[in-house]
Amino acid sequence: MKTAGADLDSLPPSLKAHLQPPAPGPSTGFNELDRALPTGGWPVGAVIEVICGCWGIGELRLFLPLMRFCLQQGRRLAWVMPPYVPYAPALMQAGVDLDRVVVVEPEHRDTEALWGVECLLRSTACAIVLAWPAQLSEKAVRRLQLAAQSGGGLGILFRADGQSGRWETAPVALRLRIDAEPGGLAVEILKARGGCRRSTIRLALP
Amino acid sequence: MTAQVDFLPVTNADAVAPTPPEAGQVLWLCLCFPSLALRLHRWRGPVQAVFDDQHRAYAVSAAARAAGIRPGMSVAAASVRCGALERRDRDVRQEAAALAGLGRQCLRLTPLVSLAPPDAILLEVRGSLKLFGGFSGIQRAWRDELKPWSQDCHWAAAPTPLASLLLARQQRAVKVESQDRLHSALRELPIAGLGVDPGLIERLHKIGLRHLRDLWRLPRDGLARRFGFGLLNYLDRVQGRQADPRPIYRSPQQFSAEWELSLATTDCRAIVTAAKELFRQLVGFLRQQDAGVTRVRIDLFHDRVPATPLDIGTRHSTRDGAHLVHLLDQTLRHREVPAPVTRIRLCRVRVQPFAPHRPDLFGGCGTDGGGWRRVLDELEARLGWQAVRQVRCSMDHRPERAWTHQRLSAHGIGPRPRPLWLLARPQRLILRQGRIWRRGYLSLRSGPERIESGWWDGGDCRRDYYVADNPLGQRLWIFRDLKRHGHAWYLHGLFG
Repeated sequence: MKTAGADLDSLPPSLKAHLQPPAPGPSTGFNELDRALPTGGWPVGAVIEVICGCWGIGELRLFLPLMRFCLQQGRRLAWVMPPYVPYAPALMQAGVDLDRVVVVEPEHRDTEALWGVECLLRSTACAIVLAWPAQLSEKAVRRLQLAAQSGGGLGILFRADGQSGRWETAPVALRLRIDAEPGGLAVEILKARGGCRRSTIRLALP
Repeated sequence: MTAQVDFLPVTNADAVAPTPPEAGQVLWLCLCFPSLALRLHRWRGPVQAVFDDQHRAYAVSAAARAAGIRPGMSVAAASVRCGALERRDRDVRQEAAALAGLGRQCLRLTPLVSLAPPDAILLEVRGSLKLFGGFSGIQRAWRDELKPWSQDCHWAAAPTPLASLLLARQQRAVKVESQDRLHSALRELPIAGLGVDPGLIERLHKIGLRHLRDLWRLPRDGLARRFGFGLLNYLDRVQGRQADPRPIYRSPQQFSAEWELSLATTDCRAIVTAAKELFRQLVGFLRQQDAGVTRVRIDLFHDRVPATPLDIGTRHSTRDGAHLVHLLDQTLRHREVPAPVTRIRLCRVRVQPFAPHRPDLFGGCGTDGGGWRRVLDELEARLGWQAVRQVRCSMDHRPERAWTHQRLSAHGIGPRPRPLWLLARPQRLILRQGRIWRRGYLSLRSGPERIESGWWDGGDCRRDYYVADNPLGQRLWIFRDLKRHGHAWYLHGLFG
């Protein structure tokens, strides 16, 4: 009689990742959020989707501790199609090493940007890819997820709330909705791989 | 007997067989490419012939040979034999270039390569036998190296270059190891295959001499008297009784190679496949020079449309053919090819000393510089270099000017070098014999970095900064003052 373990071993690695308990990831820098996430921090080798009402409510500040952590380890950071100019003096103030940051803004915005995100995610050299894609299909997200799995980095896709497209079924590791709160941010965990109660966490942002 | 003196201008001593030199330890491999002239042209059908400037067939394909067309035939005679015959004019310049290209590739096998125009290459392989694991290893290596050509290439190996050339031209795929066996290997060769004056061959045929063994049977002085010393000399060189120095082929410092597409196409995949062969040659060239490239130009030639140039750059000196092919692939996808491509040329190679990627001692990939550079190359190849940038702070209070975009520099991605010691007042540097001197001649390491500022407070400066080393091992930060007359040099800091 076959044991359950033997069955698990024979599965392809992409499927196994879904069944096994997720590996612990780097801390988010916010204790409440760390406790709420099944990975005890941000996942690694995965894609996170962040749904925002509008830009500028603290969506970048949420990820600054992670960026600092990765840069301290000597890893690199890429911004693909940012909606505004990433402001160098502020990044410096926040402790981001500008030498390890690259900004990618292709001319043909949609497809080329996605190709760039995939290319960066697949490489092991880039730890975090922050991307603001104009349009995204479920298939594209799946591709990005696979690329992140093979590269071991983290892809963060920002999406404005009203943006069209059927993303709800996309296989991201973590889906968050963030909303402004007085003095901070309300983070609602819509989906987290590894199982998690749907909950809203209030964070105080600097 | 005055007539005899006329026939024998040189003393008898020359007609006596010279003792063979100590040549036993060389082995010449000859590679002969009879279809070289054919393959430089594009054809529609199989019945092909190339004609020389005398309008005589110079090279014919197998199908043409089957139709009865032979080298040396006139155009009219050949056309009569086969209506479907395709004719091209011989291009001697291109043939020479193609042969030199093959010679360059063969440098991977041995440093002693000699070209035997119009269609053969001679390689001295005795010194390489051990490296390649015997003669069979060499055979595999050249077949692999000259892959597109190895199908219709004839080879032979012998202790003398001329003997191997004769054997290869006669399509005898044999290896003759020693001088003693050379005689028996050559005896059956027809005289018509000798590389001597056709008139002389006709005269030999007239007196019933058909094979080399017939020539050898004749007395040497008689042979010299009737046919001249040239023939005797030639025979001695074939047998190794006389030294036969060969010009050694040296690879050029610049690389350029072309590839004719068999079918004009706009299909990216076909172009990339053809370019692969060019890149393979480039990698071979770079390996011989122990160098890498940072920039390569690919020209795509069309019919009646100006050529399309494609530039491929890497930020690190590389000789990884697969990476370069991948970059070309990405570049092509980004670009529109305006017309069908007939020919591809790879040229304008920026050769740099090769710097292999060194992983750290523990094989960590945390700061995987090599991988990062590859990703950036790939992004730049497809999206254009304007799309991939860094942001930087700049010293200005106006918020919109407090940052700048910066193109990723080709070398290391890092800040400008600044010394740990700054001199309170820059010191003037002297020149000796036109070179900058500070406790020895300085050699520049990097630079220039232009610093130009301060016009508003009267301290206006315009300087080009360099990092320099001197023989004592000091690393200096020096600049050239462009504001002052004469552009004097100053020392401004020390990298303590």
